[in-house]
Amino acid sequence: MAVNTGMPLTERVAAVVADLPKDRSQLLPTLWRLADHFGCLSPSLLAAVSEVMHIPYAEIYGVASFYALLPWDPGQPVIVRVCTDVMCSLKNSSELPTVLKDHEGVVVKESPCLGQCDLGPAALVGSRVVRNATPGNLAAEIGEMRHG
Amino acid sequence: MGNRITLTIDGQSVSVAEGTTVHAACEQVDTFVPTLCWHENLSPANACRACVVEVKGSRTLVASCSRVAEEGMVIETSTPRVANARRVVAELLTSTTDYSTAPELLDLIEMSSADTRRFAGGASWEQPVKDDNNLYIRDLSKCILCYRCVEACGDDAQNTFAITVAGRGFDSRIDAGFGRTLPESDCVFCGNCVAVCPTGALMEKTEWTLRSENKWDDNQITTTETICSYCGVGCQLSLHVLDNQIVKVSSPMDHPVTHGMLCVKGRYGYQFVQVEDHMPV
Amino acid sequence: MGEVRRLLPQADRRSVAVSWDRVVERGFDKAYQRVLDMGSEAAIAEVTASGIMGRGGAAFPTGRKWDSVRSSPGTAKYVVMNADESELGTFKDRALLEQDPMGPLIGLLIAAHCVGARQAYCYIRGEYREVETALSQSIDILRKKGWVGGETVDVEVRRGAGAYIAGEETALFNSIEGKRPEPRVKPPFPTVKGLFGAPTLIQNVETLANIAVLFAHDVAWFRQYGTPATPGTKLVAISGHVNRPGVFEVPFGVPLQEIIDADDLAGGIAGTGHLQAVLLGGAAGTFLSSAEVAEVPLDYGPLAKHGASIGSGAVMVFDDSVDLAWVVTKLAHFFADESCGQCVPCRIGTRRVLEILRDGNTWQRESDLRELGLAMRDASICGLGQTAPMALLSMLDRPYLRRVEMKGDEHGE
Ligand SMILES: Cc1cc2nc3c(=O)[nH]c(=O)nc-3n(C[C@H](O)[C@H](O)[C@H](O)COP(=O)(O)O)c2cc1C
Ligand code: SF4
Ligand code: SF4
Ligand code: SF4
Ligand code: FES
Ligand code: FES
Repeated sequence: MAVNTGMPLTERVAAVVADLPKDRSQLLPTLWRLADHFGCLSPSLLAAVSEVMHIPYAEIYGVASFYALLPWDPGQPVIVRVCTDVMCSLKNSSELPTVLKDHEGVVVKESPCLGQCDLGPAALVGSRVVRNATPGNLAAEIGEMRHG
Repeated sequence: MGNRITLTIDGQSVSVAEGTTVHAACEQVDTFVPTLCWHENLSPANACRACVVEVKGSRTLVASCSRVAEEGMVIETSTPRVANARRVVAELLTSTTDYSTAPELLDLIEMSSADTRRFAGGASWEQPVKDDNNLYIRDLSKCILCYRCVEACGDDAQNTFAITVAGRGFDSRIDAGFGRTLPESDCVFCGNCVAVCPTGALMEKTEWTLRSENKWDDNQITTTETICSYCGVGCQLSLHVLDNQIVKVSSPMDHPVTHGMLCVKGRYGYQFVQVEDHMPV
Repeated sequence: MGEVRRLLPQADRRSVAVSWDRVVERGFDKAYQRVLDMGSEAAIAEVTASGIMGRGGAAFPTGRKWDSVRSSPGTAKYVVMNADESELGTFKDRALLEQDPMGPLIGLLIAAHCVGARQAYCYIRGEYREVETALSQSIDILRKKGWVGGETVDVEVRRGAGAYIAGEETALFNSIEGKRPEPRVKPPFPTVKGLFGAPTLIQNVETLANIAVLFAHDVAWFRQYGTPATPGTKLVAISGHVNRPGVFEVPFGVPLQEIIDADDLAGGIAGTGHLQAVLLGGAAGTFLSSAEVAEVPLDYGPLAKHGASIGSGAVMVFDDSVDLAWVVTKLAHFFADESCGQCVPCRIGTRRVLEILRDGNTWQRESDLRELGLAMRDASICGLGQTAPMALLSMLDRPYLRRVEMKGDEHGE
């Protein structure tokens, strides 16, 4: 999938999702594809999706703004989601965000239960699950994420 | 068409045409069940839950506005569970929204003996008025998220899809996309969202201005019916006149052509004679 | 009795999870063939006879659902594997898909065949990317064998994007359709009008795994474990103050106490060593005191007498150092964050509950909370709002769980 960065955004979007059917039911897969490709979503990306898929802009926003995992932070930071729900909190996960906030280029968010309660504290670094999270193994994972 | 079914409402046997909603069946026997989000010309949003009733055999209460009546249904409209649900719905809404211009909500408070202070004091919907065009304002502090405006703008009437419900949970809101203004959006200013809004959250600028100057008086307003002359469709217009000034144009919700919906020319043309080459935004 | 391994692969398995060999080793190839040979109606009758009930929370008889979808008019029909698993404290579908993804997939193919669906979806939680990859690879293996695609049934994996409510079946349909994942009003039920308005069968991952093992054996084998009312085994996800947190497969009817204590299960209470309460069924579950835990088995009938249910199979164990009011505040937080916002009792109610608990006013405002909780239970559209106050109400109903000094945010909200 060669996407020329000099192209207008709509054309670039069209190229990135060329193989996906232009069907309303492909909206979420399309948003995921663009989030993975561009690092985050933005108003102009949604406008391009609206043109490419023939879905009203407001509707796309209504859908996209519902989901907690879609990324909106510009600058391609590593997003770390630390579970601060019941079981991980009992293992002091709520202290992890404070430790992590000193890392540059990292956005730390608190997450509801990540479905890893037996191995908590749990976190998501990008899309990777980290179990038994510590400042140490999170830092290692962040580093790996950055350098490929 | 012809099939009829029989159900029981508060002990009274009622026969209605198949496909009738429980709420309409209640109306047939003059049993008042409150509604907030339901609107005769829009698909039911099922959002407010003011209209819930007890249906025998059902674990939860049932929204009467959308539930189709079935043969042999046994409905109770004023049990303690129903009363509690109605009251809490009124109390929750009044704890978040400015209900001063929402007649049905004011009625619901009254009939359910709601204590509007019970759940007050927490997060609310208070926010600045959005005044971004000449035709109508959005005072979303008054919004109860009934979905009517979104449906009217969407496939229930206008098919423009300029606005949506965005976000989720308590942060759900009516939005044209990233909070942009209406002139920046796909809005064509038909005003159909305004026509169906039950709370005054969407209000014609003229009415809003007059109200803020304390000059709006429902009792002084007279209404004249006419046919819109902008095109040949034949939409019926109701001209609302106060002090010899047209202050609002609407169309009857039961009019066979309009179903209460108009376009920008019919609804706002009175303000802008040359609307074609001067879009009123 | 301890642990059983039927849904989870046996300890002495030789094949790797994502492989055709696993299909053969587990007898799933024969299971699928057996269904093709016996025909849909006989297969559905066997599902009904097995007594399998949905493992996603509602425990609806699976055979009846299949019958209903099969007999609903319509040419296009769909089947969906619900792998959205986002209920607090629940991780058994993840464990199952990590250890044996072929089982639920074969169950899905069998389901599609029986109800007459040509298109299937696996909707998987967006946070489970590793599991999603394994699932996609497993589908590819089945595609190469000609079991997926072509003249059979196509299977598409759909990734969620962080919304617990998207696990509710009708919200999930809206999510696949590219709409906001707001639940729809029922009726109409999915079996009649589901995905894209067509008759749809939606089942939990674990339910589908049960289908695969059932057809790899037979009804008599299936009913060897469990109780007459609730045959079979259940995956439970145990977390909190136990020595061996994790996912275990146990027969229905096993005493709750045994699940917590047995050496090959949770291995006994950790933390202070004193059990205070178990939250059974996830965020929407019910607190059981240590005395209740000591007397109830894992079965719907007996649990109902305590106002409890197995729900998603989450068993959250708390020792006596935990302030349950803090737990309830956390749960309230979860629901307030995850409410779709569509209906008033849930959109505003979850927020008010959270505020009251956070301010530490639980017991002062008990009657307000009870009335609010009842209105949410009675008048909300979907299971989220209807069950959001359950844990809170179960705590209010068990005043002996109350602590002298109550503060909602002791553990640093
Ligand atoms: C808020 C909410 C979330 C749900 N999440 C899930 C889920 O993640 N996985 C699941 O299988 N069922 C979930 N359910 C239950 C489904 O609606 C549905 O009952 C289930 O998928 C049916 O499958 P089963 O009969 O095999 O259990 C949820 C229900 C509600 C109300
Ligand atoms: S005025 Fe018409 S087009 Fe504009 S938002 Fe309202 S209904 Fe939609
Ligand atoms: S603005 Fe009016 S019509 Fe729209 S959702 Fe709010 S109250 Fe309803
Ligand atoms: S109960 Fe809650 S989650 Fe369910 S439809 Fe209503 S607002 Fe949405
Ligand atoms: S509570 Fe953290 S993963 Fe479940
Ligand atoms: S009027 Fe029925 S839910 Fe609002």
